[in-house]
Amino acid sequence: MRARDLLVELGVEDMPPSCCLTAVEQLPGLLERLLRDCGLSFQEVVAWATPRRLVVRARRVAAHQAPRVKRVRGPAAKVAFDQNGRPTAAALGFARAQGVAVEDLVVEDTAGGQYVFAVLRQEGRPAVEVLPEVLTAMVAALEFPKMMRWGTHEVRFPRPVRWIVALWGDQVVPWEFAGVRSGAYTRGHRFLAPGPWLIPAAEEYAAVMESAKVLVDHNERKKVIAAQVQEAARQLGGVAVTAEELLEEVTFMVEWPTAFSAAIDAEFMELPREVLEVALRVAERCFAVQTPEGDRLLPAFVGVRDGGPEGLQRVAAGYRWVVRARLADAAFFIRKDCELSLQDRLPLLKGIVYHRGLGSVADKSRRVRRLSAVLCELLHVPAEAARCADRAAELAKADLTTEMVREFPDLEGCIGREYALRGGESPDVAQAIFESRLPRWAGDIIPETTAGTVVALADRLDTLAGFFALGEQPTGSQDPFALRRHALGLLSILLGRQLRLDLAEVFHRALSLLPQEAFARGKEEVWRALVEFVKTRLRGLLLEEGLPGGVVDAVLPRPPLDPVGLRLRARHLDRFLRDPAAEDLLLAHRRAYNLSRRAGDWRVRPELLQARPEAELWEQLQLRRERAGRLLDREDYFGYWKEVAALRSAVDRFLDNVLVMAEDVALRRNRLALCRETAELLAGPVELHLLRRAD
Amino acid sequence: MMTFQEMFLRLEQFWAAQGCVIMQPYDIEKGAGTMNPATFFGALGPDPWRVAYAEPSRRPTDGRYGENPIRFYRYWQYQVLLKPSPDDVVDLYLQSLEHLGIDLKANDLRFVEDEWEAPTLGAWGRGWEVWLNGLEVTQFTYFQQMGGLECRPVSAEITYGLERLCAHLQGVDHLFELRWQGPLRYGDVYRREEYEHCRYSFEEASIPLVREMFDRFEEEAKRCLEAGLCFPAYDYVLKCSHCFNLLEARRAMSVSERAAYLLRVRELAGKCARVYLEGKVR
Repeated sequence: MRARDLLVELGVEDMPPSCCLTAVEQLPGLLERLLRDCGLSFQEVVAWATPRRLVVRARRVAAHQAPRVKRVRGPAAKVAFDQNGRPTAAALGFARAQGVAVEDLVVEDTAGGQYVFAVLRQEGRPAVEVLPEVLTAMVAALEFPKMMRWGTHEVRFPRPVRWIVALWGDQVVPWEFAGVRSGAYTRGHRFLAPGPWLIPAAEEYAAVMESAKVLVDHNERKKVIAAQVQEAARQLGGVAVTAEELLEEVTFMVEWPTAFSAAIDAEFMELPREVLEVALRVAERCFAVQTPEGDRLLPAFVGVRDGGPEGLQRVAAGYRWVVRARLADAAFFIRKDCELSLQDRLPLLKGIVYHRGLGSVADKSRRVRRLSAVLCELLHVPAEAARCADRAAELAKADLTTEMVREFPDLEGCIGREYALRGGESPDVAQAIFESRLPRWAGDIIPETTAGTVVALADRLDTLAGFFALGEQPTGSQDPFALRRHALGLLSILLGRQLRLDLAEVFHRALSLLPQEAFARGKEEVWRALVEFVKTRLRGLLLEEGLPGGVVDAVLPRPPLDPVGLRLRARHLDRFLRDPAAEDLLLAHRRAYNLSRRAGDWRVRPELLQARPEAELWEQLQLRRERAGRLLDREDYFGYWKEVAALRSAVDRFLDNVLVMAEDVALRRNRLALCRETAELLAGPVELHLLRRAD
Repeated sequence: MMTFQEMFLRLEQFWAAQGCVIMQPYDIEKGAGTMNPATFFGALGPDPWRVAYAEPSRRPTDGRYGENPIRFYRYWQYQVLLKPSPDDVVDLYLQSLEHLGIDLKANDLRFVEDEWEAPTLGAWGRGWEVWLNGLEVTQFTYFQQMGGLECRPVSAEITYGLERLCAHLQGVDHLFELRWQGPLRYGDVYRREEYEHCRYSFEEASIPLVREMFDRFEEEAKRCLEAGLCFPAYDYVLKCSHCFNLLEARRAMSVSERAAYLLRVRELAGKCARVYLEGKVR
């Protein structure tokens, strides 16, 4: 019998988009593995999802399992056969037990000597018989972020399963899951073509679904939606703001998409842009439309309905009405919120617990303010910007008490900026309040103003210090307070804005501001954990930038923990390693370094330099040290290594001609000290002995 | 034209035909039809149970003085509970919409993920907000827990927002415009009441008195529970819950205080659920 396609469709009540996504990510790999494990050959496997169905298809699945050959080990050869080569009772017993003739036993060499083996050939079972087990295992292995029970069933799945199609070619694979039996009938679009629809054979699934008004392939559906949405926006004279997340969510909310557009009443166009965008996205899963230049929103939006063109006008009118009510509500909240200025809201922050042991949000604000002042000093921030940072740090959290943030948590910061402006704060303070929340996610924008940068840094430093003090640092996949994100935010601000700060020192300051009850362990221990944590994140960022791990590892251990400086060193070192002089540097360093480890903390005493090569090396050392030092001050590390690499010949001459381990103790110590000083100079601002090349 | 009152009658007719016990609203303020004892206790325990009733939902924080076209202090829910949830429950729901005269093909009906939770009841479920042309017209939930206890079997709860469905059918811009009966409109019946309740909830409710009432109602609920009387106790839980909602509308609680109040209501509701099930065993 020839190979046929395997098609499985789980009909479900509308699944959450996140579950659709995780399903299509897992299904192909799972099915491939299970088919392979059971010896059913196949060609490619794909998975698709709509809100109402999870589909997985394997092309050309064999009609039978491949026959399996199993080798069972029996007695040792010398036990199984006598001197004349005749089988003994042991061999006869073994053959009988395995169901093979004794003459079919084979002798093979093993690590433990020669043994007798029975070779068993198992015929493959038909695919249709094996597949139910495969499907059961496949469904059991699926993992979802959210599950539920329904009716009287104990099985858990993201939403109830209502029908199952399982076909191998034109044969139904008899299978049952969650109390539902498999068959050959599917259902079409809920309203346009409900069915039931017969799938005559797995190979015909796509064609049937087309008639059933279901665009099954989510990648295809996403493309169709994106194109329709942009076309609708183009007709409005603009461009749709199509965030990938929203596009994905909408894709998993419809089976037969049709885009429509509707107007936004002019009166609402005065609302902050972010408010409009969030109201459209969160409340209605609709797309905002901006001018082709992107400088402002147009008074219209685009939505996607699940269905065809019938009644589209009415659908659009319905969405328009709801959006109007939503925006009227936002306007209501803003009016109500503005009865209290941000300043007036500060006392309310005392009532919000930030975290047990870390006090209220008011306490946190106070710490962030003081930390901002510390940062302003360390970063030499001009007085005016420092005042601005101070005010922004004081007000930054006040928007947490507003109705708008309660309604639209995504707008934290945006709302603070808006209300600060309305309350008469300076635009700089308002902007810094907004920027204090940046970056909100990986790849988000970072603060641009000095004040905003300072407050954003201070906030993250306090968050990290606080939760580390409590012992709440992330472990494995557990990171409930998103501390990894905070640390990455901290680093991306410093790196992005080229700010020079020794984080090790700053963490000391942050820890000193925490209340005593925050410390579940000693301050030094917390500090060390923080430093290690940040280094690990920095390492990750530098690797992402394309710097080799071996280079980064040579750079990171050397204080200060100044991410910008460390990155610069790593970049220079990486570049220098591709320079011809790199060989000189590394060889000279290795020779000197190996000896230098015995050198204690002795210094070179010039009067003891007897041999000429050592005196020459010393002279060279002095000369290069001075020149290289100037390059170091300019952070020209490349130039530095280039300069000191020229010491190689002097190093070689010294080590080739002078006995370092001299019998005279004073001489020996002096020569070891010379090695150490040489190695130190060669390594410069990194731990060169930790460098690994070619990874 | 489908009048507002006709909708109650149609839904009642539809669900009575599905074997539901038709009940009337329960006579204590509540934020949602779920809090009616017919649902709260009905969702607990193993016995099959089907019930349907209209329920006014009072949400002091949702009031907009009648200014917003769809957000109100009080609105009418039509609530259906089916235990255990039947396999065709979604189809039944769709049929009920057609029974109300909604053309499903010519509109956009969507089941939008909603991880429903009622923290005061110690209840959560999985299901959807059902959108009709972008407007949330129904909450559809499979109860997983009620009163902190696992639901076995699982019930399906369908909660229709009657004004919104009616607004769709009648094509009005503001709920006050809905035709209730003959020429009489929704606003003619409720405009002043809606406004006054908003004034009261946001501006006038006496914070010290409401706090005190909360404490007293809680005390009485506890006394009832000690006596093994879950139904009277639950009535006081509902009253506590309404006091909580009023305090929230008055912005009288800090965030931490709010959490503490919430916990007090949840603990009472959890005890009611346990006493109810213990009584059934006896």
